[in-house]
Amino acid sequence: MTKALWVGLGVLCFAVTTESVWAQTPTTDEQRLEALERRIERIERRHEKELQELHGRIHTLEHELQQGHTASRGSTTDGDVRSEAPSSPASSTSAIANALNPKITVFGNFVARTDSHSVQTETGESIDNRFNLREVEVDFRSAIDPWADGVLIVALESEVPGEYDVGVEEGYVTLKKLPLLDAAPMGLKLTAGRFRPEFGRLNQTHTHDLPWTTRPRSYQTFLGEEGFIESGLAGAVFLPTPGDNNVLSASGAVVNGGSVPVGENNGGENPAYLGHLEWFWDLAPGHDVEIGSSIYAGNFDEAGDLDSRLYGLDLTYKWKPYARGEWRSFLAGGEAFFADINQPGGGDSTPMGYYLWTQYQLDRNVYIGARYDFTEDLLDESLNTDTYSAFFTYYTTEFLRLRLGYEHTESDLPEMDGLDTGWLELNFVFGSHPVEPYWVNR
Amino acid sequence: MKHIAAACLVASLSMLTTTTAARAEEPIEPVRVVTTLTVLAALVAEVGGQHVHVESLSDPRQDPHFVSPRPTLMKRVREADALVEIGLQLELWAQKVIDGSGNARVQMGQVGRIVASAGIPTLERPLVLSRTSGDVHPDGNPHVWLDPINAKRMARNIADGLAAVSPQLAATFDENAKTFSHRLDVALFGASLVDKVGGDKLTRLAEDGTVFTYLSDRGLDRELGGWLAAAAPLRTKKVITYHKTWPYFAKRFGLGIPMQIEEKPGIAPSAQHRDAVIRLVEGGGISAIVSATFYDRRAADYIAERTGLTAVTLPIQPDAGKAGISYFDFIDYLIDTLVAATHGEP
Repeated sequence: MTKALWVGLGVLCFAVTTESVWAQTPTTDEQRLEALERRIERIERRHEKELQELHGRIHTLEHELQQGHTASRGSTTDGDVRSEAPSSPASSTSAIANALNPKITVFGNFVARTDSHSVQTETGESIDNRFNLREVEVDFRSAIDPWADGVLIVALESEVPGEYDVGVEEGYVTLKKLPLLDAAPMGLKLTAGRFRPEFGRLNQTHTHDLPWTTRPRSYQTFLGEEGFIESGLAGAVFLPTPGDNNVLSASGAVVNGGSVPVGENNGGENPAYLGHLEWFWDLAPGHDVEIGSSIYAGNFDEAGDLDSRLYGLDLTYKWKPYARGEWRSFLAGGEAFFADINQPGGGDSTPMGYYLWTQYQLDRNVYIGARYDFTEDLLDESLNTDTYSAFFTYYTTEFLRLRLGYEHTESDLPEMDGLDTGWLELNFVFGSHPVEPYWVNR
Repeated sequence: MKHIAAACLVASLSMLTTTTAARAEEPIEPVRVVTTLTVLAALVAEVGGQHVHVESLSDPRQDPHFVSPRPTLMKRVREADALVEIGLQLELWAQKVIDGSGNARVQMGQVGRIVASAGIPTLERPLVLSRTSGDVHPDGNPHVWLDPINAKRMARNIADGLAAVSPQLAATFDENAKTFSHRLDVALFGASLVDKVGGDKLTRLAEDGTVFTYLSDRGLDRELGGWLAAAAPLRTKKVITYHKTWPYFAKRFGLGIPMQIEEKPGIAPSAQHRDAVIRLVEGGGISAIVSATFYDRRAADYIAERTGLTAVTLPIQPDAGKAGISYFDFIDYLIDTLVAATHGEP
């Protein structure tokens, strides 16, 4: 019985095994084809899986490479497209090696002037009818660490052709994040160093960004030929406002006194305080208006006995349509200055000045503009000066600008009265070219 | 004493349970996202769904290269948890807005700064860096979103970025990105083909440029649907464009672009260059002139008048108008308009 059972089991196993082998071994062409298809599908699935893994790894590596490139954003050296080519190892290495260097921009400003009569500097040197590379600025900027950004602007300036003053125009650190807080309250930004304090519309605008060749004479009278630049501390915040289409911001600064005509005799021992309030309103898509008020409070003298106040009001309207906005725009604005200066002999001097200006963009690269400027003399407000100006500006690109200008001056000051000046200005930029304020042409 | 201890324990447990339950039911605050462009807002809406509040800083009618960094834009960025940008130095104005906002969460290197183009292989990377060739982008052409396959990767980057900002919603963002990716596969290749071959494989084949050969070899040509089928007439067409806006779209859909109206990127055409474009058109083989809505039309119209070609103006992002709000509506509109504009021409 046992033997018969073993034989039976053996036969059963043989039959099952044979059936199994029979089922797996194709005999007909159709079965062979099906087996082949199944095999190809298995290979395809394995291949697909491997490819997906490789694609994932490539994606990760590209992402890492991109991060390297992204870290070097702002070094906007545009280039010649010769082919669709991935960056070579050399260029990638170079980009990563340069990623931590500051962004560098060089601005050059060349002028030629022709005058109807002699023009002299305060020291008596003649500057009429001359060519002059009047300013070169080298601008360095970079993130310092997760908390701060740094800016250093070195300027070479020339009033008399061939003679240059070299100095730090601005060098400051801006805290963008406070060490103990996740976010700065009210968007607080703190600045420390030497900078152009916020006063009115123009003071933070560098010469190469001006919509005219010269700064308005009223501005020069109250804030200086190149503007008010000093060392100190500043802070700016957003103030709450209803709605998304308007912004109220405030800033304040404490700086060394002096370095400004309204505090000319202050040697810097007495600090000066500045405040600025600005309301920006998006009137409609493409239309906006900005109103600002400013105050400077300091001393006129070294002893600190004579108070000096300067008040400013500014208004700017801009139209730049969303569609084809690079071809058409319109700007109009003005700025007024009111000073109140204690005089050494008693009494106050209260001169004022203002300018009004407008600019229209005719085409992508062509702008025309006009400006009227009135100012009283800082120490003798009975002496008035009126200046009428017109400008024509042509850009080849945002990096090269040509400007023609004409100015006529009528003044109670004999050396300026009846002066007609023609200007030719060439402004060039190379390097990274940081983005300009919203109202500047480009 | 035992009773008091037991009562205290029960009370403590019940308070703990109540607190936990309340915390579980507590709705998660939507992530506040600002994007530089409207196309990014459309992608964020797909990935974030109801868990994000998204708005674009720019208007689709604006040139994305040049947006004025106005204080109102800074105000919008100030409260944002995340900022999404294309990157590739397209929106250089955005850094001015971010710096002005005082929002440390969206500074470069922070989790709230999401670069949507990360990892996308770019076209037209310059070999030589010099401004002699105009406004060319060192990291390659930045108009990557005009290829739907790139949009999938952008959605993935956005999902990963939002997950880092709001980890408790990571699974939702991941799921939404996968769903969006599948919908894009279906929209691009057609549902039938995606079912048969699979979206990932089709995507890889399309990226390699071998999808049509693959389908032909396997007799699957007729299964092709979606945008690739709708855009089939474009594969034999050539157009002139104003700016180098369209290389990604052209590569995906087989459209030829032999020349631009701009002499160099960002440089307005000279009269000589305009005449060179006209000579090329007169040589034959060009079907239309294409420019983006924010460019001046005069040069395109001038060439169209002298050659008889159709000049078509297209949005480059969803615009809540003809080009719709969603990414799908937008690509639909581009293909329909281009096919119609080039219909009947060589």
